[in-house]
Amino acid sequence: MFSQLVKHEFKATRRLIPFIYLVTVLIILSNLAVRQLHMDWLSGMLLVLLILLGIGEVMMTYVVVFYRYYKNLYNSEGYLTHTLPVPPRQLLTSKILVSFIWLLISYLVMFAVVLTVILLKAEEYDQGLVQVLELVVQSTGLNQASVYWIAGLIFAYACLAILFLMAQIFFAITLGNCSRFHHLGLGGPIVSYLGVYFVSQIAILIGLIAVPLGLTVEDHVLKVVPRGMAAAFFNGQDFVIGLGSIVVIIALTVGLFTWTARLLKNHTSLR
Amino acid sequence: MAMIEIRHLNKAYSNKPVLTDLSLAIDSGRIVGLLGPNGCGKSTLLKMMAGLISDYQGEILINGHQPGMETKALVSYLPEKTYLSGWMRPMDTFDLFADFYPDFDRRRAEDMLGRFRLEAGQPIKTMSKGMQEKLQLILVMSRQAKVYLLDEPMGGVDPATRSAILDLVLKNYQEDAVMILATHLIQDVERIFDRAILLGFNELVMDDEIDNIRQKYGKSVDEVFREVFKCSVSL
Amino acid sequence: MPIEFDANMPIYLQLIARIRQSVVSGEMPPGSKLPSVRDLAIEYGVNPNTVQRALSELERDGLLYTERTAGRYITPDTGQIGKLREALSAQHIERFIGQMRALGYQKTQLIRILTEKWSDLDGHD
Repeated sequence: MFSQLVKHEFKATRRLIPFIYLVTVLIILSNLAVRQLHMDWLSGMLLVLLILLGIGEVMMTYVVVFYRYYKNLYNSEGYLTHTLPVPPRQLLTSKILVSFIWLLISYLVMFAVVLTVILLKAEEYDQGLVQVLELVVQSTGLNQASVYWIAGLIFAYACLAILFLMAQIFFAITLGNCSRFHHLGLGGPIVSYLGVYFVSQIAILIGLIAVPLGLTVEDHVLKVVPRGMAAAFFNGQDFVIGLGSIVVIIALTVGLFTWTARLLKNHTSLR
Repeated sequence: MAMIEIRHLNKAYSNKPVLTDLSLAIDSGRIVGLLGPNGCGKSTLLKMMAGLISDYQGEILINGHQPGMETKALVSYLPEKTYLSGWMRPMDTFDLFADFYPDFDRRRAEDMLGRFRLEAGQPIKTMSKGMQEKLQLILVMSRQAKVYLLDEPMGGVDPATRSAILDLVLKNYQEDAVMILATHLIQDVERIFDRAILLGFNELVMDDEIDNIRQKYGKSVDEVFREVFKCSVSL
Repeated sequence: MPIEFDANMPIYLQLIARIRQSVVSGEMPPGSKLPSVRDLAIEYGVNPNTVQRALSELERDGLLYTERTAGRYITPDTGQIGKLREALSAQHIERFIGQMRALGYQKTQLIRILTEKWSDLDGHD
C-alpha cells in the first residue's frame, strides 16, 4: 500500500514540478550558451534571470508541495484520500518522502545555479570554476578533510532544514483543519503555523545556548566538542557553534510529524 | 450482528446539534433510503460512516469495526461533490482504484464507461458535471463492497441517467451488502428501497419498511415526507 | 423507470396483482420457470426483498412453487389458474356491468353492443 501511495503521489506531482526545474536548467544553458557566443548585451539580463530563478524555483517547489498537501487532504480530493484503506501514518510518510525528493532536487538545481553564476563571474576574471573553489577552501584555513566534512554537514543541515519546515507546515495545515478550528477557515493553519514557529524558535534558542554540544575549530581541524555556546561564552573560550539547536530541531521534526500522524488518524473532520 | 450498527450517536457543529441520540441497525441485503431535508444530517451521517469525520459521541460499527482502515476497505462511498483530481482521466482513476481496492472490478468499470459514453482518455477537468458524476458512480459501483454509501447520486443528472442509476443500484444488489442512498428526490426512488429512514432536524422522524409506511398511511413515502416537512416542492 | 406503480399502495401487493395478471393472461405460461428474484427486481425496478415478499405470498396461495435448487415455477395446475382468471375477471365484469347500468343499458342491449364491439376490435387486429 505504501508503495502505491508513493507512486500516485509522484504521478500527481510530476506534471508541474519537473517543469519548473526544466525551465531553470534551460536558463542555465542559455546563460552558458550566451557566454560562449559572446552575446554580451544579453548576458547581463540572463544572469539576473538566472539568479531570480535559482531562488524562485526553490520557493515555487515549496509552495507547490505545501499546497498539494492541503489540497489532497483537506479540499475536495480529501474525500478520496481519506477513504483509501491505508493507515493515516502512510498517507503522511508518502507525502513526506515525495515532497522531500522534489525539494532536494530543487536545492540541487539551485546549487547548479550558484555554480553557474560563480563560473560566469570567474570567467570575467579569467579564472576557472575549480580555481575559485580552491581559493574559497584555502581562505577558511581548514585542512582538506574538514572541508569535506563541512560540505557534508551543510548538505545534512539542508536536508534537516527541509524536513523541519515541512514538519511545521504539514502540522500547521493538519491542526488548522481540525474540526474545532473550522470556523477560522484559512486562519486555522495560519494561526497554527505562527504558534508552532514561535514555540520552535524558543526551543531552538534554548537548545543553542544550553545543550552541551558544539562545533569548533582546533588546529585547522573541525571538531565536535561537548561544550555549548553558553559555556564557551561564559568561560571566554574560542568560538563554538552550538549544535544543541540541531538536536532540538531533530526532536521537533520527529515530534511534529508524529503528532500530525496522530491528528490525521483521530481528528479528521472534513467539511 | 447487523452489518451497520449505530448506537447513541451525537454530533454537533459548533454547538448546533445535528444528530441526537441516534440508534440504528441495518442488516445486509438491504437497500435503505436515508431521507430528509437539506441540512438534517444525511451527508454528515454518511461521512461519519465513511470515516471522514472522527469527532462524534456514540458508536458506529461497520461489520463490527469502528470506522478506520478495515472498514474503508469494505465501504464504497460516493460523495455529493467531485473528489477526483482534474488532471486525471478515467483510466487513471481505474489505476488508482485497482491499486488500492482489491475488490475493484476494472472490466465492469470499463464496460460501464462505454455504456455511459465516456472516453477513457478524457481529463476530468474537461468533463461536464454530469459526466464527472457518472464517472464517480462507475468507480463506486464497480467495487464489490459490503457497504455502499451514495450521497445524492441523482442530484444533477437528467431523468434518463436517473433511471440508469437506479437500474445500476438494483443490478449491483448483493445479499451480503448494504446500500444506503441519501436523497431528497424520494418520488422516483422509493420503490427500490426496503426501508426508509427519515431524518428531521435533530431527530429521527421515521424508520420503517417502505411497504409498511404505505400501508399505515395509505400514502407514498414521498407524500408522507412532504407532509412531515410541509415543503411544497420535493426537489 | 420501466413500469409505473401506484404510489399509495404497498408495492408488494401491486407486484402480486401484476404477476397474477401475467399468469392468467398466459404471458407466464403454466409450469414455466420464473425469472430469478434479482431479474424480476431489475425488470420491475423494485427492491429485491419486495419481490421476495410478493413471491412468498403467491407461493402460499399456491400459484407458485419452489423446486429447491432449480428455482421458482408457475403452477402447472390449469384448473387453479382458471379459477384465478374467474376471480379476477369477476371483479372487472362486476364493475363493468355496474358502470354500464349507470349509463342506462339493459342486459340485451349490452350483449348486442358487446358482440359488435368485439368484432370491430377483432377486425382491426
